[in-house]
Amino acid sequence: MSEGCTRRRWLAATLGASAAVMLWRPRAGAAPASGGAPASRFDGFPDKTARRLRNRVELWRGYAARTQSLRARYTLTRRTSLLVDPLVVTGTLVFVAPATLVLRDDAHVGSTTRVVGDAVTITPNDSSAAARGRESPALAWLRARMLTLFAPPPGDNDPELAARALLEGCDVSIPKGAGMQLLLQPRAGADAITRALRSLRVRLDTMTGAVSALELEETLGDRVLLELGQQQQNLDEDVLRQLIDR
Amino acid sequence: MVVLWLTILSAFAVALAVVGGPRVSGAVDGLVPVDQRLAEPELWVLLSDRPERAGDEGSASRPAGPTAEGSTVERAAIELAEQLDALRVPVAPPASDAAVWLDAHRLYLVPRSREAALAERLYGDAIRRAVAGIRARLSSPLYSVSGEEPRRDPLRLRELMDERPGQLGFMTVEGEDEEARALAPRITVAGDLIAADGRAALLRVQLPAPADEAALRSLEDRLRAGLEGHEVDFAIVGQARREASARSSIRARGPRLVWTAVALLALLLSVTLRSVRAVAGVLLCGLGGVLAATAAGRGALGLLDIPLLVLTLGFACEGALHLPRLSSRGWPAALILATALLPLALSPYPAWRAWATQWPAGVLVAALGLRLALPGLSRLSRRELALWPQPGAGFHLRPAPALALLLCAASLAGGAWSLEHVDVRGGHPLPTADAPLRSDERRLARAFFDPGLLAEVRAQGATPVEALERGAAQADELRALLETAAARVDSPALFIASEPARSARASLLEELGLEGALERLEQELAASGMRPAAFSEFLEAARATEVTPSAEAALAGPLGPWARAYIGELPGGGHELRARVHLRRELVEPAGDVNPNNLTILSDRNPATDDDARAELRGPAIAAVEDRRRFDERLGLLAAAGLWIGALWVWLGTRRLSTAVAAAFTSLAVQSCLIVLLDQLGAALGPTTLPALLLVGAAAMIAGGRACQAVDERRPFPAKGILLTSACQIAAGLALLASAEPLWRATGLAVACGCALASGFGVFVAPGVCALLRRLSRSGDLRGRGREGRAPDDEGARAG
Repeated sequence: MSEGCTRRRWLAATLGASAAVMLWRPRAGAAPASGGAPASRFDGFPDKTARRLRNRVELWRGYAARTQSLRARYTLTRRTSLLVDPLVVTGTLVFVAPATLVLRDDAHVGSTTRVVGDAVTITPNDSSAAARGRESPALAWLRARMLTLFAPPPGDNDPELAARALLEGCDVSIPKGAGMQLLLQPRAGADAITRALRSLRVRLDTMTGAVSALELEETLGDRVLLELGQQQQNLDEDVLRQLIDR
Repeated sequence: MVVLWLTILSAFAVALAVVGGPRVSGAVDGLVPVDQRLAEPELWVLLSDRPERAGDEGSASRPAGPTAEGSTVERAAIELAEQLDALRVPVAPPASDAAVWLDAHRLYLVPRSREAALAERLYGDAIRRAVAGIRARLSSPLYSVSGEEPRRDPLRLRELMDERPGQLGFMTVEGEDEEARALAPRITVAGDLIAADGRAALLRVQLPAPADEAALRSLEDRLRAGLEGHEVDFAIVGQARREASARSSIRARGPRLVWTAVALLALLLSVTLRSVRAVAGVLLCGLGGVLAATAAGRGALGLLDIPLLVLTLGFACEGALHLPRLSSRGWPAALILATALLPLALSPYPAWRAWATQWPAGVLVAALGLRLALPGLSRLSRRELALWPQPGAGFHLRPAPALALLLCAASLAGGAWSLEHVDVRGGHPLPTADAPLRSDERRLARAFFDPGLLAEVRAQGATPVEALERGAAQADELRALLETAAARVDSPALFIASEPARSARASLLEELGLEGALERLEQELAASGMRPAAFSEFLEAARATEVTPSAEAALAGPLGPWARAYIGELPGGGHELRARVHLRRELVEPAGDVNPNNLTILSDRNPATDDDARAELRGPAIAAVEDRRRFDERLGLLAAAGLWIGALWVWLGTRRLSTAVAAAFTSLAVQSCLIVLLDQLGAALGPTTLPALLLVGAAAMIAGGRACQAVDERRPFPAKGILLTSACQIAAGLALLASAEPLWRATGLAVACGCALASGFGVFVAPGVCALLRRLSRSGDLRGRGREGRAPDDEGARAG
């Protein structure tokens, strides 16, 4: 068979598959037996923006759905008026579904942040006084965002449910700049949150959909950039235990 | 006599007109002693999400604990707070202002018990570790939202504040249990409260005196206008609302109740007297008694007054059917009835103390009408009114000492046992039939706190500053209440330090070398790569040792508007700080075991004289606790006084001590039996039932005395008399029982059951007890000489 013929067959197959997917997906998102068609999370956006948002959420979902546990190396950079120079630390991030997240700095002068469900503790690595996170709307919002970004989406991988879970409590937009990014902001009117946090920018790996960076902008002017790399999914239980309990 | 009676009646009518006629006051605190009333009854506005929004998708996914976003209710509360302006009083200090104040004065507000820990934090190594800790924790992405504020509190002095929840009113404190913190209300920027689930908000308002219906309606209009466009409902909760509800209930149900009572009595009297003019005459005399009782109470009609006015009518009308009499003229019965509520003057309840004089006025005016005016009218008109039906067929009573002894013993034992187990309810709050009001109060209690559990501690001074300083001297004792009696203590005095405490702390800080410690802190911050200037808020406040958390600074600063809401002016001059204490629910529950030491002992040391004055917890909740603790003691005192007075009249009328003592025993037995009956029916006893118990006792005293007299005089006891002597009283009780107000129904139940028992005990117990007493008296002293100067013949007493 000639190369041109093979290429034409591939094109036809791809077009046919795409057409099938386009015809199937609206039916998959159609109304459940009990009622009318549910509203989409992306209703209210212009079509182009909705499409771009949907693509990003899909990209994220593809990676997160496979995550039962995750290990990654991170570099955290904090720019704050408290410090003369930006604070740069490296460490290891461990996530265990559904709601355990540990960020351990490498340096002895750093700290370990543990999020287990609703509880947040920040413990300096030199064993001095830990600080338990005092519950507040801002803490609840940021904690929920961080856990949701790494956790497998709920609802048996339903795209709409995944989008709702990821974007709950947020106003979402696509920031300027290259790459697959989402800008999550506290809902308009959430004064209790916006007093502490302005936005959370999420950068996704364009190939895998993994979260490659989080950039947090705080109301008092601090900026925190958390860059992730060397991500490994679904580690052994023993390895996980060692990482978490260390 | 007719003219005399009409003159007396007119005098009461004029007196009533002078005070403005009968007016529905709706008073609901008549059973709270004056010294236990809150200085300024509070009024709350409760905002809540509309029920239909509870089904929305957004609200269903709203998390528990702090709301993830500003809720509809919170936004409405913030706008409403602006619109209410001077009417609104902050419930709590505005969150940011309080935080700034506490951070600025942390070094002075750390309690004495934590001074050692404070000293540790100011040593060199501790400062280095604190700075290292800040730098370490900065590497967490969640640091800025963890609640730590290094700019204001780099040494984490907040952790040294006393960890007892509730010690700063509604502000949460470090170390508070997370679960408790999650359920606690939040404070808005304006100082109002938002429920933990974000679905309710609470504002406090202060109406200009008097807080009457017009003021309440005006407030409702302003609330409606202020909440336009917001999908929230509002409810007003507080004493003013309860009074308004009571007024509505009295206006709606009162006339119907009175007409029902009049109709029942008219029916009863018609069957008995069979004369329209007689019935009309009796009812007019009864209503004259009601007028006199109302005038004696200065025309005020509250929830507690209506049932007693109806009972005045019922008991007074019974005076028209006095077969047989205690004496030839029948005055003892009228006097027993008139003085039935006189013992209430010994009680601490203002409403009942008023009725100790209102009741005699009403009954005596009615009795005068029945005994003097109507017969006089009959003679004038030359028509017999036939007020006293001819003696019909009757039977001679046979005293049954054994049965009487058995019934007495059983009743007294049962009464004593029931008093140990019966549910005693305090006199506040009064039960109400207003279901929306009860629902609003329950919602307020669930989401925030129960306003019925509020108590006050007062501190006085010539000026507001002095009053607040005196309050600060009570701070330790107020905090100690959190261990025993209180769930929360709410006072600006806990945000300041008293003058002696400030002086002592200043000395300590100088001794610890505060200035050196602050310099070391700056050096450590710089060495760690931090900017000391970023911590200037803490450093400047710590260095400003001349600025201390004094009363003057608090009133002049951002906490001033909130603090001033706790300070009132005294009528005789001077000012008073009223700290609020939220009592624990178990203290005021019926089964609660109350240690009186938990409630009353506070010391208020006068710095000028160094005298140790007592400052006590006071409030309707405290009064309710006292009611439960001392109910049997108070009941015993009032019952004993009633028995003594009634027995005196019986003795004076019959001149037989045995009759008087027998009547008193019968009265006591009936009251005991009534307590057993109410316990078995699940009715609560308390200050609200005291008048009913005394009236039942008086009815039993009269019934018993009449029965004994009938035996001594060997007269047949007419069957009609047995049925009718208490029928009017029972009819009045039944009219009350048919009403919708729970308070009136409870009174009616007690009176109806009690008067029925009185009638029965009078026939079956009193003669038996009298005979037993005479047998026991060998010398015959108890028999007395009787009115005719003859000793009753024992054989004759058993004739028939």
